[in-house]
Amino acid sequence: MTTAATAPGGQVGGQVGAPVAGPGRHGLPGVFIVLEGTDRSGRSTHVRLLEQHLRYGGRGVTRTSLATSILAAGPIRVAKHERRMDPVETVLLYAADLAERIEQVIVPSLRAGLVVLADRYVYTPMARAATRAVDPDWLDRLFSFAPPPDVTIVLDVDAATALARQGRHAPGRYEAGMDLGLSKDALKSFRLFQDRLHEWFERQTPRYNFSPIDARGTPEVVEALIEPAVDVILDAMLGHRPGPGVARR
Amino acid sequence: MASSSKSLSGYDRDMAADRARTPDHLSPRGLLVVAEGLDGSGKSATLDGLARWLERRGREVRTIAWEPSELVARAAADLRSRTALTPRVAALLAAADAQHRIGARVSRRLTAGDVVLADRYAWTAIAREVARGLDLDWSGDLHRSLPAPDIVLYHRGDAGSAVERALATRPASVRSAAVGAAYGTFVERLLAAFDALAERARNGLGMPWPTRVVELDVGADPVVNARIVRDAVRPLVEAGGSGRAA
Repeated sequence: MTTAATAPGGQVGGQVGAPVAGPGRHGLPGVFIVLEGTDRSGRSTHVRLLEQHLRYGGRGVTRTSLATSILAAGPIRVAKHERRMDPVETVLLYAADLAERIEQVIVPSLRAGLVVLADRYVYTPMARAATRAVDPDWLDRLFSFAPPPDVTIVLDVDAATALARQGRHAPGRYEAGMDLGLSKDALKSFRLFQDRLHEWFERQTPRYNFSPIDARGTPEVVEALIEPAVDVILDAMLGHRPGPGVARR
Repeated sequence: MASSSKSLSGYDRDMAADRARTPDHLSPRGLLVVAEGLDGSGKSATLDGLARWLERRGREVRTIAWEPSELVARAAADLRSRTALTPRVAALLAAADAQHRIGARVSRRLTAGDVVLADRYAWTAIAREVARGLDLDWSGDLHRSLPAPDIVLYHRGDAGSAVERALATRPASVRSAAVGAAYGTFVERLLAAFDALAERARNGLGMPWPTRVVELDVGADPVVNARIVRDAVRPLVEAGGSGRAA
């Protein structure tokens, strides 16, 4: 999916992507924003906050999250429950989940001119498969059906911070990468595996035009980096929409 | 279908010796022979004959069928989920299912040095997906991680006879002109997809993997076809599965 580029010019530190004028590379009138990041990067929190911010600003928003499709979410849960860890089978199930949500949710919303906020997209399944030695070129071809986002914000959190946020709670077997045999200790394995994922996102930044953002700070600090940058992109692509003028919350 | 022969042939002794000195993933493997083609083209009869011939030669033979995906069947049976079951979603679910249910099973058998005869394999899935409008390269690529066949026995017959055979066994309502015409179009597309897969394999551009292909004329004398199959498989058996194209 080498064409799945985001808006060009993403940089660490708050400047999320240079605004893109006119319709995105997907060729549809809406705007497609993806938030990616390793586990405990605060991704789900920020998708929720950004959705609120955009709605208060008068934008029509559709939110979609990984493994929430009608057909594939169940089989994904079963495979995890049965501890089936074949990386090819797993990535095919996630691809089915994405294909359904792309066809049923993402593309219709973009066609309707809405802002689509995706809590993870093709990149998390790709990262998980690639760190389990699945051929990256095959992964690109597999996900070639996926429309490219207008911007992909990667919440950048190092493995040590992720581990600190994890606390003493045991991570899920899959999230900890226990199948890779990195360590018998779940928390240690989690840290090593998240480190690999973090490295993958870092290495793939030019390839997929990720816009990394330093997400080690408090939610308020990170939010203050994401929202203005997204507003700039939306204003350029959809035109300025004055919101209610009152800060939400 | 499993052979009752427990005595170690020369080949099996070599296999055992090889297994003893090489790690699992480097072990020489058995042989995967696949029969492909439209419904009623004689695939099962070919494999039955081949299994008997191989067993007489002392080989352990396992026959597997390419079962329809349970995930897809379940989705299709449910009115609410059926609307989400587009060709692409169905192809991905079926490929995941095949990886789990068929890929692992075939790999195990091949690692044990068995001869595996597959009554339909990935080409059937790909042809059906292509007939439903998906791209052959994309669809083929989904199955790339399945063990590659050493040889594909492509049973080629014309679409008209296949449609007649299929409809003859259906109730009268299904045999109506409209259903027959729609099914006929689908079978023509299937045949074109099978032909494209066979052509690629012959040109060394096999999808999802390079493989040998032998084309059998469905209308030809079965005795002649059986001889063609044995002549094609014999060198592979004698090479102990090492004469792989992939």
